[in-house]
Amino acid sequence: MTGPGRSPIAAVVTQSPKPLGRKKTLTYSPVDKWGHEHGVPIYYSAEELIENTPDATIGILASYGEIIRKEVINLFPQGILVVHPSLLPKYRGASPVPAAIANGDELTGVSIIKMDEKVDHGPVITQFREQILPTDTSDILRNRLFEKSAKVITEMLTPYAQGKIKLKIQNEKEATFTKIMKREDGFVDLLKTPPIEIERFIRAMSSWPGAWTLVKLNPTDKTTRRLKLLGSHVEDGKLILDLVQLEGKDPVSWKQFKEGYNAMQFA
Amino acid sequence: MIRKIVLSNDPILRKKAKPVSKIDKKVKDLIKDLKDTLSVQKNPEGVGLAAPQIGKNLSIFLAKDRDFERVIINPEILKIQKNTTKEKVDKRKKEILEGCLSIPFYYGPLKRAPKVTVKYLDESEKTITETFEGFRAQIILHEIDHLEGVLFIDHIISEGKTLYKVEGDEWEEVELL
Repeated sequence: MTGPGRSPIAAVVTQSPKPLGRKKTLTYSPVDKWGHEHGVPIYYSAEELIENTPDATIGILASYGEIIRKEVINLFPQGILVVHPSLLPKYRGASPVPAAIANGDELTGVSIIKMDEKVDHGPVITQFREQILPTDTSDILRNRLFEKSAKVITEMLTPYAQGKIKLKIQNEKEATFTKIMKREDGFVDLLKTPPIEIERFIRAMSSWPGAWTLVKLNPTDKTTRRLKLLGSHVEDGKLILDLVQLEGKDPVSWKQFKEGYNAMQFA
Repeated sequence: MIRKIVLSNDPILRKKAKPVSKIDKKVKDLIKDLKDTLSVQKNPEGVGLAAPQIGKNLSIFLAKDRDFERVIINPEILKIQKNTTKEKVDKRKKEILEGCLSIPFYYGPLKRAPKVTVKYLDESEKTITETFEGFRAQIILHEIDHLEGVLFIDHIISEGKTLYKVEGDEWEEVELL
């Protein structure tokens, strides 16, 4: 027998396993599972790397969601590469993909930058473009962008490590910012928003936080209920809702919903 | 003497090894050869070597893990701690990417029993009963497999695991037919 095989990945950092679902089964992230199957050390916070410095020259970060301290960045002689799903300096921050869809952009992309101490600010190593399709939701587009990024990263890693890639500083004047989305950010006023924007907004908010509006099930009701908007399209300049879900209920077609609550009103 | 390690296509690796009846000079020379051969395995690093791997169909193997070194003759498994069936615990038991000197540069994640008790003869023909744990248990089980004509890839296939080929820093999934 030989000594244990060693992956070229020295360590992975991912979110800790969480009890999910009704049975509260401990669920491990895909990165966690991968690390486990490949005998790669797994950490649940980048801070842990300070005590357990990995034998690595380059770090790669995607969708991490937390600020990385300088002490951690400095553990990697050739820095940490950040995979950010927008054409930086446009859409820095936490929700670049929903922002691009909601704004009706036809083109977006991914930037791979070298991390510095400011969020999404470091010099660009490489970028690629990607068309936004009229059917794209944030989940679908994000998956496509990250799948392509994985390929781009493996191709650029060697030339980057050899110092063959010239980095490009971002133009600060063109920088725009996106924020972490909360449930409230999914609210849309169907009566005041142009149909085409609502349709994009529903796709942009999918699946998190999800687009929603407020309805009264009867005109005399004092309370309003949250109605999740799961799908729509625009026909002759008018918004047609396809799939909706009343708070606490199962998703139904808009037609079914109207039949069930024929006196409903948008609040 | 350093011997050539046979590769996985050699039929001797598929035979059941014969028990050693007497530790005579021939057997002692064979043990010396096993030691010499294992000591020079640096890429990949060797942690165990069975007699069939140097072309001798006898029930002898070496196990080596840092300061741990054993010559094991005619092993007999007395007790083997089964992998726990509780999925939760099971999943977290670290899988080590196991490899074999007869199948160099191929690795697969194998979850072997965490603990095994073996009765065997040592070089001085003394009967010993010893319990091995963790990575050492894994080495012992891998080498006992060799004496039974079993290779680690057999487990990879039967457990539906992935086999990887490692060339330098390149890792590639291997399709198993």
